Amino acid sequence: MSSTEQGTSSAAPAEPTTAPESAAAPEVPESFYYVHGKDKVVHKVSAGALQHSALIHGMISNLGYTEEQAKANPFPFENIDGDILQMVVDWCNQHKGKPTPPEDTNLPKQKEKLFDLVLAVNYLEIKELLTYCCKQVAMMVKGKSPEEIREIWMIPTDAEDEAAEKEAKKRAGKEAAGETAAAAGDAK
Amino acid sequence: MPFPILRTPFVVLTEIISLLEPEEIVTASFCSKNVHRLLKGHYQQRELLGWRIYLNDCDSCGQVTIGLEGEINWKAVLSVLQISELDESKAKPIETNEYKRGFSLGSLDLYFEDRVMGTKWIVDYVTDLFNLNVYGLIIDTNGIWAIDWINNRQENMLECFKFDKNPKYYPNAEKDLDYVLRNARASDFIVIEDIFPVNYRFSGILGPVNHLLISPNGHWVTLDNLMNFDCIKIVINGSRISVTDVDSFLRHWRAGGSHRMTYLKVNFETHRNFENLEEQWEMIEADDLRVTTSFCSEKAKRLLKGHYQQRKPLEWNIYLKDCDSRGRVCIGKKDGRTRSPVLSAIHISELDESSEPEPIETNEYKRGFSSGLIDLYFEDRVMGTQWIVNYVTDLFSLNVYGLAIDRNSTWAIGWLNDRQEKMLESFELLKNPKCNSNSDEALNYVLRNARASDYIVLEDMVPVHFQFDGILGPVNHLLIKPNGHWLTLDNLMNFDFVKIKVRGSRISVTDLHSFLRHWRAGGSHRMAFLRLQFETDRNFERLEEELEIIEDRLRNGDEWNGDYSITRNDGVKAVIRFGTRYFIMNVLPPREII
Repeated sequence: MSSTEQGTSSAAPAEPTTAPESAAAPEVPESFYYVHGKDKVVHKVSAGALQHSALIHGMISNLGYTEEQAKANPFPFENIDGDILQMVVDWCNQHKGKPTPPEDTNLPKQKEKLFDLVLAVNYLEIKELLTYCCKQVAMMVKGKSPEEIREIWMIPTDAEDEAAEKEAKKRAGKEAAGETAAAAGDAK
Repeated sequence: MPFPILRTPFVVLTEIISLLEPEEIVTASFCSKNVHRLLKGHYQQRELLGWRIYLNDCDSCGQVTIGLEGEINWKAVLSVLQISELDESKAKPIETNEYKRGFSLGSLDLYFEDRVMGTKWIVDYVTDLFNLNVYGLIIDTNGIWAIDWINNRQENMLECFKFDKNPKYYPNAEKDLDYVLRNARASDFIVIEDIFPVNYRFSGILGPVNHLLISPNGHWVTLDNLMNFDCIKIVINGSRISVTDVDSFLRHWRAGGSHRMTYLKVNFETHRNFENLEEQWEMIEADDLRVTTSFCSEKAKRLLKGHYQQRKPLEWNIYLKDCDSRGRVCIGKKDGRTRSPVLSAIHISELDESSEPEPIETNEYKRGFSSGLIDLYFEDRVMGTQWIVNYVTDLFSLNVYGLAIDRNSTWAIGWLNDRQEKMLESFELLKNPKCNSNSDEALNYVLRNARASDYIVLEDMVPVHFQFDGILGPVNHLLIKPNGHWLTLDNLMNFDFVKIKVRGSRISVTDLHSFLRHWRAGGSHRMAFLRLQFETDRNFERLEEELEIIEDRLRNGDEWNGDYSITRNDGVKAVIRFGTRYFIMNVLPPREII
C-alpha cells in the first residue's frame, strides 16, 4: 500500500505498486497523502491508513489539506528517523480499516528501535500502536528483580541520581557566577 | 536491549505504568528513590478501581497480596521473613540498614531481624505506594498481633477477615481464640477456619458483619451464639446444634430476633431428625419447600396448585438458569437480589446411584435429593429443563420472569420467547469458561434474539475481534461487564436503552466526542444514564477543549452533578464527569426507572 522513493521532499512520489484495498468499492476513490522523515524518503500512504494517526488525521481534516497539496508538499516529520517512519507506515497499512487486536503479531520486532518507535508513535498520536509498544516495554520486566529492571529500563541508582543532581547544581552555580561576572563587566 | 524509560514522555510513562501488574510495580519501586516517587505520584492521582490489598500473616511469613475485585487469585507483591530463614548461598541479597532483600517467584522477599516489625513495614510501604487502605486480613494464631495494629492504623474498617487453620498450632490456646473472636472487625466477611478445642465455648458477640463462615469446625457454636451473632448471612459447617436448638432459634427469629439475618445454613456433624420440626413448616416461608412438598403426592400438588391459582404469589419472580449443563428453576423475591433454586434438571449420567437417599424412579426421570433440593435426572437434559420450567410455572400460575444462561444454552431463548406471551423482564448471559460453542455465532445469536423489558446483563467472555452490527433493545438497563471491548461507537448510538453501564470499554475519546454530538443532535434520546469504564487510560484534554459543547463547570459534587454540562438542541441538559478510566453522563433531571 505504500511506496517509497529516495529524494527530497519536493521529489515527485512514486505511484503505488499495488491497487488500493478499497478498489472493491470503485465509486469512492481512495485519497493518498505523503509523508517523509529525517531521511527525506517520501512515503505514499492512503487516507484510510493515516486514520490511525490522530495528528495527521487532524492536520488533514482541520487544515483542509487536499491531495494535490499533499503531493506537492509531503508532511515533514524531521524528528523521526526514516526507518522508524517506515515501520509506522507499514503498521498503519497493515491495520487499515481493521479492528486492532489486543495482541499484535505485526509489531516491529527490532527491540533496539523500540525507544525511537515509541517516541514517534506518541508524536504521531497512534493510540493502538502506542499501547502495543507500551505492552512490549512492560513485558520486558516481567519476573525481573529491581537490579535487572534498573538495567533493562536504564534507571540510575540513587547514588548516580545524587551525583547527577550535585553536578547539575554545580553547573548551575557556575553559570550563575559567570552571568554575574559578565553583568559586572558590562556595568564597568 | 535496554529501554530508557525515564526519557519517555509523561503520557507514555503513564501508559506503561498502567500496564504493569501489582507485583511488578512494587518490585520496580525498589529500583531507586526517583522511580518510587514517580510510581507513588502516579497512584496518588489515579483511583485504583477494584484493587484490594490484603495482609497475609500465616506460618511465620508476612505477605502483602493484591487481588482484583471478584478475583480469588491474589498476587504476592512483597513478603517478609525472619532473617534466620535467609539462605545466602543461593543468591547474594541486597543489604540495607533495615533489611536484606532477596527476590523469588517474581516478587521481593525482605528479611528482617524482627519479622512483625518487617510485616508492618511492608504494609506501610505498599499502602503508601498505592494510596490504598488494607482491605483484608488473613492470619493464623501467630498473626493475632495484626488485628489491633490494623484496626488502629486506618480509619476504614477492614472489609474481610479470615482466621486461617494452621495445624502446627493445634490446639490453639482458648484465650487466643477468644481474643480473635472478640476483636476481629470486618464489614463484609468474617471467615473462621481455625481448629478449635473440643470444649471451647464463646460467650461474646460476633459482628456486625455481612457474611460469616465458620468451617469446618463449627462444633463450638451454641444456640446462644447463633442468636447473638449480628450477621446477614451465616454458614456453619460441622455444627453440633440440636434439633431442639434449631426449633428454639426459629421461635426466636419469628419473635423478631436476629432480624438482620437473611440466610442461615447449618451443616451438622452427625445426622439430625427434623420430624418434630416439620410440623411447623406451614409457618415457615420457604419457596423451595413448597416445590419439594408438591412432589410428595398428586394430592399435595393439586392442593398447592389450587392455592396459588386463587392467590398468585405476585412478589415472586421465576427465573430459569441454564448454565454449566444444569438447568435450574429459581425463585427470587421482588424486593431482594437473592434467588433460591427450587428444582434442578441434570443429565442422567451425573446421577450417583449410591447416593443417600436412594433415587426415586419414574417414567420420565429419576429423582434425587441433595442440599435440601430436588434434583431430577433426565436422559435428555434440555427436555428435562423444559419440564421443570413447565412444572414450577404451572404450580404457581406464574410466567418465567428472567433467564440466565451460558453460551451452551442459547436454545432457551427461542423456547421461552415462544412459550409465553409476556416478554421476559431480565436476561443474563453468564460467563462460563467451559463453554466450547462457536463464540461469534452464539454471541451474535444471543444479541439478536434475547428479549427482555427491564434488564440485559452480558457477563460472558467475548472474543477479541467480535463485532456486532445489530440493534439491542429497547430495554431499560444494559450492563456489559467485564468484557465491553466489543462495544463500538455505532453500537452505542444504535442501542436503545435508558441506562447503560459498560466495563472494559475501548471507546476512544474521539468516539465519545462523536457520541456527544449525536446526542446533542437528538440521538439516543431515551438514554438517561451512561457509564463507561475504560480498559486503559484516556486523555480527555481534547474533549475539555471543546468549549462549544461543554458549557460550565458545576461546583456541587453530589451524585447527580458532574464536572461539565452539555445541552441538547431541544434544551435538555446532561451532566458529565470523567477521569482517566471512566466517563459518566447523566441526563437531567435524573430519572429512576423502577
